[in-house]
Amino acid sequence: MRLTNKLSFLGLLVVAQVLSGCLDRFETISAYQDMRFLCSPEMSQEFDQELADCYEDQRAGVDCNGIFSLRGHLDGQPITLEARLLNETLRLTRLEPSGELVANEILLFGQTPYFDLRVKVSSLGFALAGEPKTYRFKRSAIDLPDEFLDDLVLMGIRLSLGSGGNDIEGIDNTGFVTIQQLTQESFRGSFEGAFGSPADIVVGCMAGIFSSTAGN
Amino acid sequence: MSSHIFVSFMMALSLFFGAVDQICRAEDLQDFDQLDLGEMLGLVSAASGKVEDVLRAPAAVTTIDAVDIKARGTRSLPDLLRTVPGIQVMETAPGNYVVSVRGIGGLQGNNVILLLDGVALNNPVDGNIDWAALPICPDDIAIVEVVRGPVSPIYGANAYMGVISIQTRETALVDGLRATAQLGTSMDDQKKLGGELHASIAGRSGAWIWRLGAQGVQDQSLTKSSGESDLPDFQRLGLNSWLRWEMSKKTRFDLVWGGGWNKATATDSLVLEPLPQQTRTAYAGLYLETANLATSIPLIKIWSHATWFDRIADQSDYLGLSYEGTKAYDWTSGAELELALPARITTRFGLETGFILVDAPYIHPDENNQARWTYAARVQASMDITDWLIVEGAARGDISAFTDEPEFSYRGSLIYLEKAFSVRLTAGSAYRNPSYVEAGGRFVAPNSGLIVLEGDASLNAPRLDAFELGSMLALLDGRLTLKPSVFIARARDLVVGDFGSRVRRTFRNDQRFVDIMGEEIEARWHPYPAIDLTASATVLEFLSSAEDPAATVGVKDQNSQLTAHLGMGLALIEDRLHLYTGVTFASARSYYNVFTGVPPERLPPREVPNLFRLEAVVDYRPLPNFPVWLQASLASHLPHQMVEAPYPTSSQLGTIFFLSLRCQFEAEQ
Repeated sequence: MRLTNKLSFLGLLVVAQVLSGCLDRFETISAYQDMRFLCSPEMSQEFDQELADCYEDQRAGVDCNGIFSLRGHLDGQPITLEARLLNETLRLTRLEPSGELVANEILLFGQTPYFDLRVKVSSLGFALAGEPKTYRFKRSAIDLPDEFLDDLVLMGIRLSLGSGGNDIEGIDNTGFVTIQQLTQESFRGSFEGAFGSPADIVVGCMAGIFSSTAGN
Repeated sequence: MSSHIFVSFMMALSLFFGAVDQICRAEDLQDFDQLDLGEMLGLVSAASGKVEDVLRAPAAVTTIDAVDIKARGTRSLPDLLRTVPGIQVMETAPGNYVVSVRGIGGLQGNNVILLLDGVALNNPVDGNIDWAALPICPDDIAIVEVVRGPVSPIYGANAYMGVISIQTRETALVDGLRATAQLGTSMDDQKKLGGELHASIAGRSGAWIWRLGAQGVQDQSLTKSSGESDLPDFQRLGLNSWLRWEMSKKTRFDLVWGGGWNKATATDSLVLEPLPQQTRTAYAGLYLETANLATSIPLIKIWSHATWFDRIADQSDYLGLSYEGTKAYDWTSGAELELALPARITTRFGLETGFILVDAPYIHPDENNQARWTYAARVQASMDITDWLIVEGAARGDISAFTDEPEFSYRGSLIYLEKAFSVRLTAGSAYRNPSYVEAGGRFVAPNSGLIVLEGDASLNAPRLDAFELGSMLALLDGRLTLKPSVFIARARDLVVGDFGSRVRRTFRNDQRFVDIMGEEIEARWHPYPAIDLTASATVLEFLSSAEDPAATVGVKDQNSQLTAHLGMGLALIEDRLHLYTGVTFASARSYYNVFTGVPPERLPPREVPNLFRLEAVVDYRPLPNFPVWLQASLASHLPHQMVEAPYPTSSQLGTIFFLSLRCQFEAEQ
């Protein structure tokens, strides 16, 4: 290529780059980009602050009963999420023959910009106001004897756009749930594991006060 | 297998016409013998953006003129396009169509540009053509040119698979006035009525030529959907106008403008509810041309286009999403300079700039209501190497806010040319911009407040590379024209809706290529001046198809692999009685990748069987000295209750009978 042609071509490229800089380009970002992962140790203050703000809003009449956060991959997509929990339900069960009242199931409801969130942790058997305990994921199809005495739980996350939808379940032996604190009034916990597919691994945490209690 | 059938058909056709040629040569064919071949074959302008002999056009072009349109009695432009090779048409709702070219259109019509008197009417929001909102009716059209193949080097983004160019400008008017009025009524097999009124007036007075057309349509026909609910009546008002000032022998100024309003069902992608919505459109174009400023400067041209779209729907009536509040503006201006260089080289340089602005509630708040500028530069060159060998090339660079880098497109052609025969070898590359919805959309469900669909700014521009071998033959002293062509095309980076994930629904580029091969043939024969026979056929073969479950473009099963048309027109009783009959065929296809509703969900699959469209038209002028025509036309489909699209409100095609009265008065100065 002759020198003049090279210079002309370079000139065109320069003009193109300059004009490109004058463009108001699309920079559509997802709502997830503004969200934080609140479960790491360095974010513990932020997590507590969000929780405190949530309770203050609740006292002012705004729906908020807790905070939920996770990071990882869900449904094949990367996700970083922080969300307010709008409703938490604690289901209790009384063990036989001891009669001890234990937490059977925690049901959390929240809303993100893209979906309604439901988190369900069941088959717990956590002694109220007991010491922190870590449970491993189990498959939902298994009904194990002494299900409230073992260290296995079933955890599912449901993402829905209204009514209906199915839980994305934790895959057995790929993760765990740690209950750090649980009473009839409040809870705090964390989890980590694969949900739905071995490649979809998330880490998360949750805390809040129960809006309702069922069972005895 | 289908290719072999196609080739055998072509050979049989050639033998048949060769035999007929021997028979007809002895007949009195004085009318055709008097015409210049160039006049018979005609000129085209859409293949290269400039007027040229159709034998020299570096792309496959089909032309349909006003005489053809009147003879066929078609009342909608998409139905007229069904007869064009390479074109597939799907009626999604009364007045709403998807027109696709060479298998790539799929369920989106944003792969072809629609020009009305040079102004692109594609909706800036999603690049689709809103056929229901076109401010013209078939009676306004002087000529339609359908160019198939990548034409981005001429027209820029979105001329991905072709261009449909409509001209209302008739340049052959003599000094005087011509007024036309037409009143028509229709009835379908369910006894639903329709009516339309069209009027136009055109005139020339010295250096001034002008035309004004207006139309109104109200149609209940085909509003009974395949479901239980009735759809709103289809209503449209349209106005189109053209003014030319021939300032001198070399310089002329054109002004085109028009607008329309229509009310129709809102059923479309993402809106499933059959509630009415209104669309308002307006367009304008200015052109200033100076020809032959100097021997070496055949043309200087300055132009400017603008379009405006507006959607009105009462969101409170809708359970889900509506398009209420959509406003879109598109303005482009440019200049072109043509130079005649030594060695029989003609070069044309063009520069363009413009902006698009979309204001809609379903666009991301950070992206909404911002004017986004575009820039383009192009060069075309053609060289007559010899009297029979032409080389043509075009290259274009576009810079826009839709893509991160400049987009380049090109076309190169080698044309062998004889008096009545040409062979064309063309290679080209084209692209389309991601649409506003794909790059910057944010659909929020009105009831839940959840973001149910969002755009992605990182999308690559879908691209297409194609290679084509075409020919044009004029036989029997021009009474028979044959236009066969074969093409192979590769489409990549097609945009698919990533709607399956519950985490976030957005768009992405399909990583797979789609390779399509096709054969087209178009034939026209006037065995006698009073007889006009037309035929076309297209075979599409998907060498590889989009297999992503979310793909809606370039999917083999969603395209008819064989389409064909046969038509016959007769002119009798001193040209006062015209008869036309035609049949159009589209082979079976299926739809299962339609995502619609909010959030987008896949509609149940619908098998669309082999379709036959039968047409018959009688156009009669009862009194030779009285300028009144009566026209009766019938369009019927088999299967009769067939629905072409999987939308729950898609119309049953059925049968429509149309009766009209047309008056035309001319006064020459």
